[in-house]
Amino acid sequence: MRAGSKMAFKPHITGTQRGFTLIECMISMVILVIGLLSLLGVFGIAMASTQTSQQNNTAKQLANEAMEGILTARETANITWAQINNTGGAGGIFLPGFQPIDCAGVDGIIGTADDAACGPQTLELPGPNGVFAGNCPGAGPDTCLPLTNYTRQIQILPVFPPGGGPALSTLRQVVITIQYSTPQMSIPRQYILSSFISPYR
Amino acid sequence: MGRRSANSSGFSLIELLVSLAVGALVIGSAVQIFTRGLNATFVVSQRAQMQQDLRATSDLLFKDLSLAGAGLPSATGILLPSAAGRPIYGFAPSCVAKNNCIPGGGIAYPCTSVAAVPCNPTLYGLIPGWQLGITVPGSPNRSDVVTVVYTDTVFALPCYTIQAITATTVIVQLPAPLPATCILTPPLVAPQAVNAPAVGLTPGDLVLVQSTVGGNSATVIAEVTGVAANGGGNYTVTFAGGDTLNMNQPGAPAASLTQLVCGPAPAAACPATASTTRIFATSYYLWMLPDPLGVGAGTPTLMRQVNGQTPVPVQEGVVNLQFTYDTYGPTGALLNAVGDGGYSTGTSFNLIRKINVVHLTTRSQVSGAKSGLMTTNGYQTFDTQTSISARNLSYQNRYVVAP
Repeated sequence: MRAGSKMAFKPHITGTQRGFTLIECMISMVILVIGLLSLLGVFGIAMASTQTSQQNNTAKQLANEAMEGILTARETANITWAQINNTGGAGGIFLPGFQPIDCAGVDGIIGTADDAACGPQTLELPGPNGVFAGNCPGAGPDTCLPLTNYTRQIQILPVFPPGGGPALSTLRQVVITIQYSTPQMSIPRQYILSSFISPYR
Repeated sequence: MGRRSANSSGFSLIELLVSLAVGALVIGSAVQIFTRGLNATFVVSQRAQMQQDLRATSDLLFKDLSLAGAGLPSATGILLPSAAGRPIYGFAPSCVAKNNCIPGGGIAYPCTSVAAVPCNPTLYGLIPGWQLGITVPGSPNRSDVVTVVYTDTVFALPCYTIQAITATTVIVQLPAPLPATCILTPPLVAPQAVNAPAVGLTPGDLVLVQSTVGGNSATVIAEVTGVAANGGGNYTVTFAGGDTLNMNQPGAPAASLTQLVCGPAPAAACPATASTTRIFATSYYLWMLPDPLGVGAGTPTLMRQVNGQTPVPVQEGVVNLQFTYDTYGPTGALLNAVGDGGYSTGTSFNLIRKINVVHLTTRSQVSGAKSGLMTTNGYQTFDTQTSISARNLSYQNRYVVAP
C-alpha cells in the first residue's frame, strides 16, 4: 500500500465547495423569522373574514323581510294587485333599481317611496362584554352597524306560460337582490331571493 | 496529529450561542403561528356552531310565528273563563321545581281590550308579551315574550265524534266509517288513538271544543287533565278544575264546558257538528340557564314552551329577544312597529299584520387568549332582524267564519 492512497479519501475542500457560513445561515434564518411573523397577520384577516357570516345572514334576512312585507300587504289588501309592480310601468309602488336599506315607512311596506323619510336601518350587536345595552345609535359598548353597505333591489317581473303567449295575469315573479360589501371583500356580494306572487290571498 | 488547522475547527461558543438564539426565534415564531392557528380553529368552529344554532332557532321561531292563528275559528279571539281568575300561558308543572318558565310562573291572558271592565281574558292567534320577559344581566331592557296559537293538523282529533260533554269531561268516539270531513295527513289511514303516547293527548294539552248552544256556535278551550280509553275507540278526556293553566273553570258562567253540556239523556244529544281540536299555545321567552358549576349568573337561553308542557331550551346564549308588530290603529289607520301590538290603543291582537323581529341576538364567549383575535374581545355575537307576515291572522280577519 502506498501512503498516497490514503490521501485520496481526505476531503478536498476547494473555495467553491465550501458550505454556508454561519453568518449566512443566521441572516437567512432572520429573514425566515420575519416571513413567519408576517404570516401571523394572515390570521387576523382570516378572523375578520369570519365576520362576513353576520353580513351574509343579514343579507338573507333583508331579502326575506322585503318579501314578507309584500305578502303582508297582499294578505291585508293594503295594496291592489296592480300596485304589486315596479313604479313607472303598471301603476306599481315598488321602486326599481338598487335602493338603500331604509325602514318600512308609514305604509309598512319595504321598497316603496316613503321609506326614504323613515331613515336607514341599523343592526345592533352586543359589544365586547356580550351584553345587549340597547344604546344604538350612540356611544356605548354596543356595536352599531348602519346597513349603509347594503342596497336592495326589488324586481317584479311578468311570468310567461311555458308554451309561450301573453304574460300570466295572475302570477308575477318577485326577485329581491341584496348587494353588499364589507371591508374584507373586494368584490360586492349578492344574495338573490326569487319567488312568485299571485293576487289570491 | 493534534494540531488543528483554521479550516477544520468547529464553531466557537459565541457562534453556537448566537445560532441557538436565532434557532429559538424561528421555533418561537413557528409556535406562535401554531397556537394562533389552534385558536383560530376554535373561534371559527365556535362561530360556525353559533350560526348553525341560530339558523335552527330562527327556522323554528319564524315558522311558529308565521303559523300564528292557523286553524282558529274566531276572528275576534276566543273568550276564556275568568270566574276563578284569569287563565295563564307559559307555565308547566315542571316550572315549580326547575323554575324555567316565564318569570312569575306564567302570564295571564290579555283582556279583550285594555280598557275593558271587567276584563274578559281572551286567547288570540298571536299574543305579544312586550317587556314581559327577563332582564338579561347588564341589559337595560326587559326582553319580550311572544306566544302564538295554532291548531294541530297532525293529530286527527277532529275526526272523533263527541258523544257527551259534561262540566269536566268530553267523551269522544271514533266513527265508523270515517266521515268525509275527516282529513288525515298522509300516510295515516285512521285517526291516531286519543291516548297514543307520541301524538295523543297528555295532561297539559289544550283542546278547543266547538259546539252549538241555542243555535249559536260556541267555542271553549280546556286543559286536559287525564285521558282514559273505554275500548272500541271510545275515550273519556277529563278537564278537571284546578289545572295548571287555570283554564278549566266548571263554575264559570261563560266560556267553560258547563255551557256546552250535552250527551246521554236527560241532556240533549250533542250536535253532529261538535268537534274537538288540539291547539298549541307556544311561548318563546328568555331564561337564565344556571351554570352547572354555579359560577356567575348563568347562560341566557331561549326557551320554547307549549301549552302546559315542560319548557324546552332552544338555544343557549340568546341575549336579546325583541319584537314589534305592524297593526291597525283604532280608526283603521296603519300602525307600524309597535311593541305592545296596539294593545294600549285598544286594538285587537287579531289585527296584527306583520311581526318584526327587532332583535334575536346570540353570543358565545371566546375565553382568555382566544379573544385577542376577535374584533369583539370576549364574545362573538350574531344578530337577526327580519319581518314575518302574520298570514293566518290577516286571512282570518278577512274571511270571518260564518257561525
